[in-house]
Amino acid sequence: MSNQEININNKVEAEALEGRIPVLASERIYKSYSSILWTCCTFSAATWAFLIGSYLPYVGDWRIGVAGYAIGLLIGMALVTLASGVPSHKYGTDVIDSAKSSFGYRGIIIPLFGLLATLIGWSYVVEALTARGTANIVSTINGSEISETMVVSLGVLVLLFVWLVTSKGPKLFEKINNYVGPAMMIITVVMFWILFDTYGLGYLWNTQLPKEDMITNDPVRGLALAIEFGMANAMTWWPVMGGLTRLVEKRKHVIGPSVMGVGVLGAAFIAAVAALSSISAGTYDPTIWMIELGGPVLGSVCLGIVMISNLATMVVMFYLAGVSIQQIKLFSRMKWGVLMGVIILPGIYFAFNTEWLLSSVMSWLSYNGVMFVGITGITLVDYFMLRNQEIEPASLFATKGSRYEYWSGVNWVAVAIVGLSTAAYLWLYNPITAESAYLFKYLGASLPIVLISGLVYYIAARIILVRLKKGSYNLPGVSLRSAVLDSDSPEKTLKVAL
Amino acid sequence: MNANESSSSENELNRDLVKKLEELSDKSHQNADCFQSAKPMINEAALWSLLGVVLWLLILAVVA
Repeated sequence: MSNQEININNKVEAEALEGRIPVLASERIYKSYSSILWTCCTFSAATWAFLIGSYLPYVGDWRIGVAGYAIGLLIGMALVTLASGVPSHKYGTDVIDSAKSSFGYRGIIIPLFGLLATLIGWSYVVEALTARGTANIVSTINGSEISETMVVSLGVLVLLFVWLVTSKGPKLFEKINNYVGPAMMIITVVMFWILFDTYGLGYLWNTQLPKEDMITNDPVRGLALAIEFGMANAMTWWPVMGGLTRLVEKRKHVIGPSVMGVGVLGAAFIAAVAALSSISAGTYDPTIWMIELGGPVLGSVCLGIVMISNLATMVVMFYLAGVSIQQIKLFSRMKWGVLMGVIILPGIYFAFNTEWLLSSVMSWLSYNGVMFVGITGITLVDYFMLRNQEIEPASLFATKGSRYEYWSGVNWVAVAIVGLSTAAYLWLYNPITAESAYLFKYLGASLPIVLISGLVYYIAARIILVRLKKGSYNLPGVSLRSAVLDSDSPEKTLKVAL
Repeated sequence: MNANESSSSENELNRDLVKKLEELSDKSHQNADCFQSAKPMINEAALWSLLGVVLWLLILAVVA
């Protein structure tokens, strides 16, 4: 192969990794179980894991809270990885492109909106947590008050660093996460040991929050609430898993690392330490209690790694948002570094408003996972039950003549089910007020809604879409058409474009 | 970037997309591990979910 050919191949590979072009098996960057496990773990193990963990003791008993949260993550991550991760893994396409088979090329605006709200919204929250956390560490060591100027400067620095790393593409952060993930786990064990050493196992095991502070004193409802926290957290990973699994080489590295890395190590384990610290040390926030209990040297080293983990999380989230936002033509024409700059730049506004962001936007983000409940059910049934794991890749990049054209690019059946499932979820359980229907106590909300929305979509597809010949559900085994830039023969070729 | 440059870069990207979609139908990708049946992944996901459900029922039996 000549140097010119190698350069062209490298350029195309970079375009695939940094854009929506499918990533072939030979180009995948996650080639081992541990590399994708640690990326999942690092991604999940940002300071938000401590924040969520601090809510678990409020379900009535911290032990039920932690166990229920882990159960919700086990079930939820398995479902979400199947729905979002498996199609993208097979075809190397971004999750939003894969979802066109069930939503249509215009209908994907719904999951795309959810994806951008999740990834960019949470990135700014992590930016605020990192800026305030680092300022906390500095002020605790110096014995001074937190200065707002310092918080703003740190916020801007965080954004600059994240832009520099994401501009280099996913290969760099795959390497970084191989160190950050294990380091974060070691630090969490150290934190647990410090709590254990300071308070003793008996005190930690038996201490609870005051009864009047609890959301519920009914242990069955408490368990359901904790499971729902885990399931709802898992649902917000729908936009993420497809973006990651398209970079994974082998099938055996898809499900296990996602459930273990995101669910067990990155979320449940860290949440357990946060729950214990909030009932013993009085705060979940390690930037406050770690230096107090661990001393300035050990505390600062540990927290330094926690903050680096936050940066790694932001890098992965901005990368995934950068790939998916290219569905919008304006963004697909931008160079990767410029595109990253455009997504990251609004973070400067939030650097000046970290306190407002953490107090106000957190409530809105609580609703964020709700819309993915219906999307998970629909995409799961569409790919595994209705399409028998076969989609036409060229149709994911086509408009006219695409097998997934539905009604002018929108599958209104899927859109209606997402709307209904969101309403049904909020009837079963309201994440802001914690009000719930009777059934919630035994079933939770996410699991029944995922199953029912999947079942309703299956029936509706058979009754409505197949009869009206929409979505090509009635064309199993039809030969795939070749992708071309200009099509004269729509039977054999299909015009595609990014 | 002027309009001509933008259009040429867009055309180039689309040509690369066509090339990738062709390669996706090639034997080399279709014989790759990722292109095989998802059955092992479904089984693994079912096992993780089953573990979650068993733990759920066990804890429910203890606290109810």
